[in-house]
Amino acid sequence: MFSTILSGGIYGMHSYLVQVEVDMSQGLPCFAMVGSLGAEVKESGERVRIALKNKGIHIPPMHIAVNLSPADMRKEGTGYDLPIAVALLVSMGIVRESDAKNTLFLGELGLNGEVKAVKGVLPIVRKAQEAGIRRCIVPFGNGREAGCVQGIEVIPVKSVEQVMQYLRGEEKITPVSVDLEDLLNAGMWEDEPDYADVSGQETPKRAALLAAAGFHNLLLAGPPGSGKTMIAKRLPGILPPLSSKESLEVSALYSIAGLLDGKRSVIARRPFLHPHHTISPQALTGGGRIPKPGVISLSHRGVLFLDELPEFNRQTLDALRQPLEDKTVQIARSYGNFTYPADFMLVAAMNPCPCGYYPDRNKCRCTPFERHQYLSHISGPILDRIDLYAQAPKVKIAQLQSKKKEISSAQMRSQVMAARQRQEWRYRGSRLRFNGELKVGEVEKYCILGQKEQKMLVHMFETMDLSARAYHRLIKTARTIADVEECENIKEEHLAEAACFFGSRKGVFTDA
Amino acid sequence: MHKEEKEYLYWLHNVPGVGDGKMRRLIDFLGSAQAVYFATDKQLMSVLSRAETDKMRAFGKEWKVKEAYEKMTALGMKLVCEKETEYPSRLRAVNGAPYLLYYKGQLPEEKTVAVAIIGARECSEYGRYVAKAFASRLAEEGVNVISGMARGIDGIGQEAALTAGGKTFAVLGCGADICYPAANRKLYEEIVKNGGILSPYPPGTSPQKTLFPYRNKIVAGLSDAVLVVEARQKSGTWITVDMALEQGKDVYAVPGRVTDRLSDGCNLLIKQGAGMAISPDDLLKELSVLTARTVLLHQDKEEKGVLRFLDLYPLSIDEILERAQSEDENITLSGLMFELIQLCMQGKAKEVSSNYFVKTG
Repeated sequence: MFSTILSGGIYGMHSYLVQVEVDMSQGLPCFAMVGSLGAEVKESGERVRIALKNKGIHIPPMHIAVNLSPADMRKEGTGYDLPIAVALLVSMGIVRESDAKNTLFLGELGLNGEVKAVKGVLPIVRKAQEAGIRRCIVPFGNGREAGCVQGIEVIPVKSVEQVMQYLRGEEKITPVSVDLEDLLNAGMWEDEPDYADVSGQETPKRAALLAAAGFHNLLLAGPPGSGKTMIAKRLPGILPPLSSKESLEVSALYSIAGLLDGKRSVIARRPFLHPHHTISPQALTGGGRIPKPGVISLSHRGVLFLDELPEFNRQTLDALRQPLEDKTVQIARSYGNFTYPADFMLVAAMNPCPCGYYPDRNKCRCTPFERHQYLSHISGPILDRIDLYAQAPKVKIAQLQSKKKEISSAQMRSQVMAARQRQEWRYRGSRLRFNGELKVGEVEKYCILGQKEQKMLVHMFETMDLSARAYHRLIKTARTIADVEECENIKEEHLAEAACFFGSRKGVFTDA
Repeated sequence: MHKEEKEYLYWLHNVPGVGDGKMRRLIDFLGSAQAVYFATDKQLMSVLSRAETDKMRAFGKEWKVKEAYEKMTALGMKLVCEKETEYPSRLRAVNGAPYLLYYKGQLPEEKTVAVAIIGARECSEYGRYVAKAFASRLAEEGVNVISGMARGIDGIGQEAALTAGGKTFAVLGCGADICYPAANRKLYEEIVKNGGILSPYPPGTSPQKTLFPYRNKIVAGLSDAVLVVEARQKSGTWITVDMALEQGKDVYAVPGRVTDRLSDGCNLLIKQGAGMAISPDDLLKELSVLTARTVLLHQDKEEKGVLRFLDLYPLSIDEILERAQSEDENITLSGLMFELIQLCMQGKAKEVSSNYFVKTG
């Protein structure tokens, strides 16, 4: 008898629905599986047969054919075990076809019949919801993840036996539904480290605030032990929260990468990734025959923190160029072209010279040539995409001991949120979310300067030897400063402050 | 001296293995460089060894005396010999002065005071400021500034002297036709126009570490006084200072903060008895150039606003903020940044590295 069951698959970032078709007919007993299957999908037949046997269901010795349609899409992953098992049950008449209709099945089977969690559940369930499917049956471990999708009934199951009983109406299972908004607002910042722990360092802290408010890329420089890493690691604590749409977007990526589990069923906070500097270009952008999301995609809508920037392989850094420009990464492999989103805030930390103490001439004896060599590890196009440069000066012991109250993350967060609201209002109805995303034309549209300010800008460019490339970057930063200061128009002091964070004349650190 | 003799001198100086000493002895013995060229083996061997004689013969065949000299002069290079009257008389007094001196541009003026301004290659913003201030003031008063055109203090001083309309002379540790360091190309060309590039080494000699001490000796030899702007306790500047003292020249040092490693050398010199150069005019007075004129000691004008929190060495915005807030608690980071950029635009301050500012003179 022939039966068909719905399931879904992932191809890169693209999710699609799969028809699992099973036919049982008289003939030489065999179990054939077709439909462009990966190795783990081919093994599925064996798992299903034994899992059913161990639950007391013997598959009759018949000619059994399983087809996963569309047959030309490459199928990978272990999520097809459960739909194949259910299709067999329908074919054998154990479950009625009508009971399994309009339902999507996903899950891996253990030999004892247990249903195990799989990757990519969230995007598949979303796809099913969009296709108007009424119900989906997912592994218990993926229940909360799938439950974030509204408008579809999500049934978490623990074993194939339970599925059978549920479909036959012998057992009731409460559908899971997760309120994403609640999750996004619940006790977000409790365990985040606080900026109040950083003594002094007002300039780099201000730069971090501006980066968070306008989603600008940030470069922190300074001698060893000045707190660059501390400042960067406190960024997640002041970033504006994810919107539910963004959260689903990021969660889908993590789901595909197999990084969601029972503990972390959905990504509710902006990701913060800090790969070690030995990372390969493939690990950064995403690699594999069918590439999995790389580190830059996993930092989507969050922060990618590169500590000791010049230590990174130049090739690795250059791999960032296209994603920084396009906010997506395109990877071409033999199986086709894959595009993953990669809209992240780049935060980098580095020493200003090989010994780390420039411009303190008492300690630093690096020659201009050595400094130049050190900085040339980082290519210009990367530096061009960085809006904010800040140096963390050496910390004095007196600062560590002083009882002066440092600005806390909570204070900074409220400033960020105020700036965020201004941006939301300004960019309503457009694709834009943050000032950092403005392109040249958009800068001219949204950041209008008064006459006084324009004059100052001209004067600044003439006297301080700024390059023309700098022009729009400077205005973008000034826009964020104005937003943080809750000013409608960009004023002279905002431009001046932006110039302070501009990274000096020739890019990063000029020659004294 | 005949042009012809110079051609032979140039040849003799280029013979491998013949230094100033052998050259002197050969010429003393045979009368002239031309005579050395045409001397018999026997004559040569009363000064040189067999091997050296052979080497000289072999080299003599390769070398085209006339063409080589003309090639050199075509580069704008000139050659002066100890025996000529043009040879700097200050150098003549130095024990072990070069027999031949190559130069491009002019030779230092005999009747003008010459001061060597020397110091560290990796100098601080303070050193840069001081070197500039001294060099330009000295140059304004017509003093010739002598130095080595190196990176850092040397070059900065010479550049300032030129900007002030004075003359400056650079002694190189390589051929005078080679611009070393290459980054000073513009300065090199300016010096050729308003002063001179000097070298004891034949054109084409590439810069080598071993050649620099002798260069420093000549820098000291050409000057009436040596001014050390910034030097570490262990530095090449000491060679020049030692040479100057050996030659009986006055040594002055610019004092620095005791915590500055780059001023250690200067402070130590002062402790050992070197003159303390606290202002350009003070130094000029010491050099008795300005005796007849009223000395206008450069006094700091009352500085207003944020400028008074800046210094001659780089301070981070945080440090400036700390200084400012200790006087006026109402100063904010944003307000300070605005003032700083204003100062930069007025040319009163400079951002030397991201978020680090100095005041400019």
